[in-house]
Amino acid sequence: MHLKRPLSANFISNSCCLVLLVGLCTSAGIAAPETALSSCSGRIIVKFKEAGKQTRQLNKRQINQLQSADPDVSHDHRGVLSNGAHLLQRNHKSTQQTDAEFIAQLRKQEDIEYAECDVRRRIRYVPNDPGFPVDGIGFPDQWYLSESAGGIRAEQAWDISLNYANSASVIAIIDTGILSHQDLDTSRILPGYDFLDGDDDPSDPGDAALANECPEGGPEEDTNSSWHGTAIAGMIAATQDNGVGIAGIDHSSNILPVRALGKCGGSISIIAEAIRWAAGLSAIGVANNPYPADIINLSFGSLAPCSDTEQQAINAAVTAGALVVSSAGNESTDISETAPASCDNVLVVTATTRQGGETCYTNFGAEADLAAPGGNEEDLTSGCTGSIDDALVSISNTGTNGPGLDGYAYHVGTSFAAPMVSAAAGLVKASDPSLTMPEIETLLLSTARSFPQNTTDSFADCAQQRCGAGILNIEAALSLVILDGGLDTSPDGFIFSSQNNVATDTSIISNSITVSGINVPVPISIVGGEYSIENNSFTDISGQVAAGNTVRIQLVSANSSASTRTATLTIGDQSADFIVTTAAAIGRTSDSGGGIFNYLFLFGLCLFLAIRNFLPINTLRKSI
Amino acid sequence: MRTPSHRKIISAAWFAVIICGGLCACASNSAVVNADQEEVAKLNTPRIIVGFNTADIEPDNPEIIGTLNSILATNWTFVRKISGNAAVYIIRTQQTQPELLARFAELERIDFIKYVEFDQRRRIHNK
Repeated sequence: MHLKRPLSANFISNSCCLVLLVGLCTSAGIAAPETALSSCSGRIIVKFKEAGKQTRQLNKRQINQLQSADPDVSHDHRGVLSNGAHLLQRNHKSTQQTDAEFIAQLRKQEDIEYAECDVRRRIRYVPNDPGFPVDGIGFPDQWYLSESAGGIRAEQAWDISLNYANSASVIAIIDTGILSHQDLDTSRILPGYDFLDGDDDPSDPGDAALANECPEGGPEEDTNSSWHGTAIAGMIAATQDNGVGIAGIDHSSNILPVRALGKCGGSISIIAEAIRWAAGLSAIGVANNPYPADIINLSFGSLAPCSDTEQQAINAAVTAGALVVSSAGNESTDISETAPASCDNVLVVTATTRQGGETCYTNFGAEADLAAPGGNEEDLTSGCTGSIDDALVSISNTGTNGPGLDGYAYHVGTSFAAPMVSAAAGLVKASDPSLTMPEIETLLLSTARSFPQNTTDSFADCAQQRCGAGILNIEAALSLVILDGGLDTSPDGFIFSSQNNVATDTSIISNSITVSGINVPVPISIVGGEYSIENNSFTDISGQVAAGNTVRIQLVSANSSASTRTATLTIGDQSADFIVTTAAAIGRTSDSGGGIFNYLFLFGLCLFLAIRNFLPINTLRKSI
Repeated sequence: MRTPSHRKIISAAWFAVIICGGLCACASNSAVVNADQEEVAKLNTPRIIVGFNTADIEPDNPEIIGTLNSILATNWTFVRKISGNAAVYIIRTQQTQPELLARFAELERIDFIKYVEFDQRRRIHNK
């Protein structure tokens, strides 16, 4: 498919287009009168009744009232508004929830007229990058950033991240190398490494190849250079709001370029070294990387099982603290047949269409973690439609062999879905550096949005068992971290009531508990029994559980009397035992009334033996 | 009744059938040979990664290479060490991939060898 159309940057500055683009930029750059996501950030407005007695300071009674609403938190008085209301700043790490609770307490008090958040209104941030013109007509076509059907809600997320992403995470791009570009800020490109040439210049010399030039065969025909690594870098980090080209997803992270693939791809022995080095680990013959990557993007692979060499490198990188993101691959096959997507410890990204359906080319299956737009490829026999408008635009180069001029090109493939997830992870990490990469992975998966239904441009509507948890939703991820008090993976404690005197070898079901105190799904596992979520079938296979879910345990009692069996259920970092003890009595259980029967039987037996021992048999006979 | 001329015609026909059959057989055989040769040609100098169980192994040590050759006599040539106690070698072989994989399994039974695998290539995932 020939979607790529590298065009020079000069084309962008073509006067006709420039006029159109500037016009567009002007309209895009002006504030839309839309309310941004609201946050109290601990700033509360309180107006007391008794309007005639408003003062510049809070009186003692008013201070006591505020304290009674939340005794644990003090407040700074920041001033009085024209209407006599007081502006307060709460002295604690504010969350939307704690602020809301505080306000609710204040509103219950009779002499408070109103209490509310001092909500920050913002201009809806719209960067002035024009996108790239489609067929020469100025029109922003980075649809994947914000379109409601198939987009990743990056544009909406920037309203949050621009205020909170105060640090810079490091995203390693292990690829064909990158080229400098007017739309890439050189100050955000870290010193990388070229593992093919063995030097510290990771620039891309081009990967054009003649037909059958490669030692293991291929390519089938002469191919031009792809500038693949540069496109990935642009997708993640193209400079926003600079009036030219496109907007990258992550405005804060730094890029660590690592060249490990060339005209014939890259061998796993070299890629594995690149992964280790990117993560800050030692690689043979190379000085250590002083900028260990938080995220490592792998937009490559082949139809082969995960090799030991790359699995060990990935494990080492993950242990060092990196998140490894891999594209699912473009062979329309199960991910288990490809590598490195089938390796353990990688976040696998499938590709969705503009409408959010499953693309005709993406690999799929149980190993899929998350989906992101990959651009449409027309395949009418499989139901996929698409044009260049539905592809993904990123930076490129006009050179067909070696580097030429800066350009932009349209791209299709899972290669370009993966960096969207890498960029999202980078943006979240930059917004809350305290989060670990496994936490960020959990966050991205748990905040993914549901796959749209009834798509008409796709192979099929995506399903979780084929495409992953959902479509990447950066806004939801950042909202959860920044505005909703952060990730809470530690549930409230829970208890299962022990059951005693139960029958032997019988299935006993516990009381039901309701999971609470978490805002993302967390792992659930059991030892010694089975669990059921929401009255579904019982299982002992580990899974995930969300807040509000009900959980019960099923445990088979011991097959002997007066014996105890225990099942231990773990949800997140909380565990509880369900203990079941069989009855002490022989054969019957107390709940069936058998206990009384047994006691009577034993009493009768004892009485008989006593009479038999103490009275002569003849006496008995006589009496009988 | 068959005349001598008929017999000649029949004999000639049978001769033609036999010749054609033979030629066809030869042609099909040569096709098989060519396919095999192609497969071998791709594999004749494959790169192999050998992972070792301990860090103190010197992968270019002649004894190590001798051990590798003793199981799979393919002129093992050390290329370079890689991280994770492993090394890349080039071998020269006329064996097919399944044959080599079977030998890899034999090599993995040696106590100091952790794994043996092809140094596969990965390609970019653009369409």
